[in-house]
Amino acid sequence: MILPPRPARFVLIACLALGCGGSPAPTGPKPRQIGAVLPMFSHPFFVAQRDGLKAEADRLGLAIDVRDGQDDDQKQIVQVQALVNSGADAIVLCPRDENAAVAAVEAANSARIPVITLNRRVKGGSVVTYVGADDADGGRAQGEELLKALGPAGGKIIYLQGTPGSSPQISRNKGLHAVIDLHPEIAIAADQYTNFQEDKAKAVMTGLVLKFQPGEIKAIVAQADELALPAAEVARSAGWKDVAVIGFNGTRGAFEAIESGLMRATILQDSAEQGRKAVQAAADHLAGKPVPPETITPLPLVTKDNLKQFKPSY
Amino acid sequence: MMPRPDVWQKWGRRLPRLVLVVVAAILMARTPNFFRPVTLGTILTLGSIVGVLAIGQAFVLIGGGFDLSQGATMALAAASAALLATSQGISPWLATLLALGVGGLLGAINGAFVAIVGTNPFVTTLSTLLVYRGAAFLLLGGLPINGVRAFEFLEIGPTIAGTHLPARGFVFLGIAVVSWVVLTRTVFGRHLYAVGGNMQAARLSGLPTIRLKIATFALSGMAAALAALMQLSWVRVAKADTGYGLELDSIAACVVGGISLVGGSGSVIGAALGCLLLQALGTYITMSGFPDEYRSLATGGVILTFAAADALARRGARS
Repeated sequence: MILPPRPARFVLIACLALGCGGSPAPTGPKPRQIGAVLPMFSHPFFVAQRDGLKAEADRLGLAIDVRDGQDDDQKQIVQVQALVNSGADAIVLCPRDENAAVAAVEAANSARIPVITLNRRVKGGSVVTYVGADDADGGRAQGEELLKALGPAGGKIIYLQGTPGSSPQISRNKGLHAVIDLHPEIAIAADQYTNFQEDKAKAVMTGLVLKFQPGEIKAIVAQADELALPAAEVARSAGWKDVAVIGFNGTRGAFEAIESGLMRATILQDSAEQGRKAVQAAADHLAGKPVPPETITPLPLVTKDNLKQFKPSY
Repeated sequence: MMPRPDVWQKWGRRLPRLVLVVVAAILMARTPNFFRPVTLGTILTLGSIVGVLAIGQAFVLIGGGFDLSQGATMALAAASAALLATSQGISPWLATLLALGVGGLLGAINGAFVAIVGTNPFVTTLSTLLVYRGAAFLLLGGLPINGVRAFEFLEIGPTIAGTHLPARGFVFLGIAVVSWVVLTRTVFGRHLYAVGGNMQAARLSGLPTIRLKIATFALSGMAAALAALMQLSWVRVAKADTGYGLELDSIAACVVGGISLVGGSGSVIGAALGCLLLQALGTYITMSGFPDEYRSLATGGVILTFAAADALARRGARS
């Protein structure tokens, strides 16, 4: 749960700590320091997010140190502590795990450094603001598109989920179920975890095309385009026709597949834009401007009809 | 009655394996559509990547080593192959050869540390696992290379009984047979068993132990590079986390296939069959509708059963 922001207190304390004499704007030759910790650099989603953070910091004349959490909760906590110790004025944290990261937020809280959570929320500690998408919205949008694809007749679908227990998996799953649970004509015939990996998705799907007959499955919903694309390819080469494939993230590959008809839709999540918004929030907060308790970035549905209006996320 | 205990012991040693294989076969036969060409072809195709890794691992294990860096070597080889294949003027064949060379070199580095410097194989390859994966990340700048189609020659293949059989399945089987011949019918193979069985004795009897040991790791690295090319032909994307954790699958296949982790014994055919058995189990779990989480549970149980059977048989042989 996010506590209401207390910008006045934070600014006062930050100014006392830095001795900036009541002027919250960066006046001296030393720019304000932003420290950021992302879950991992090994996924292009977070590489794009890192680039967004850096670009916006450069534009605003802030110094930024973006660290790689290496897909490890403890490393994230240690890195937040290190950034606090090295004199960061604000921390942008995209937690790997919404519970484990509470310790990182509390470490910054006890040093009175403002924390902005990015992309995933943290279940504890005191946070200035949350910047990111609502994954459940994206899951709901997938569900709505699925209803449109299947029509009143409904049918059997395959659901490919990401990493069990990860916050995108939980929220996207919740959002999808919020829609399709009201529609008994839609049945999830197979529900598999694939850890957001292409090869796992392809292997699982290769097993599933043996289990079902061509024409039996009407749609494939995947929690990432990295899963949707390989699944669509396996389905097509097994001779399954007219399967509506709905992905998530809005990758370049998904855009091409929607154009060619291999996929039906994806949900665009612009991680670079989220990174830019997080740095803006940090800058506003450090400048003493009020910051809303959350900034929800949109998750537009991309189909063949509106493809031209958007750019792929990575 | 001399031969009786021998025969008893031989079958006693094989019994747990046989029971497990028979139970697995019964379970699979009860699954609709399991024993038909398309399913068996799928098992061969899906198992081929770990299968090639397991054959490379078998050389290292028989030679008394241990290779934890296979998955990371795959990532670095895949990154190199994808970069080469997407740059101008390099044919897929040249990219293939260079990638195999990269794999062999990375393996030889492992081997040089183990054989010349004398570092523990576990620690050596644990370190290079981190180094190679980090290097793959830096080489790719964190971004995947998508749509790599240069290695599709591994994905094409005949359609037999309505089943498409990609070349990589045959590559795996071919390499298994060639490796079996090398290990059982050549001087190099016999020397390898000698080095793995007793390094000191092998050295004192004049075998080139250092070169042999380096060769096993280089072969494992080349196997990892080939596995990377097979993976690239299949998913067409090279990423920093390509092959993540596959070294454990390859070691598991070797253990199930009866290769000793202390060196000097085991058959590469066993490793190949072990890999196919584990893949069949995985495919069975997917087809029977169990969630994939059961796969790791069942796989762990199978590996432990096989390892325990081996340990008990060895204890029986000593007493």
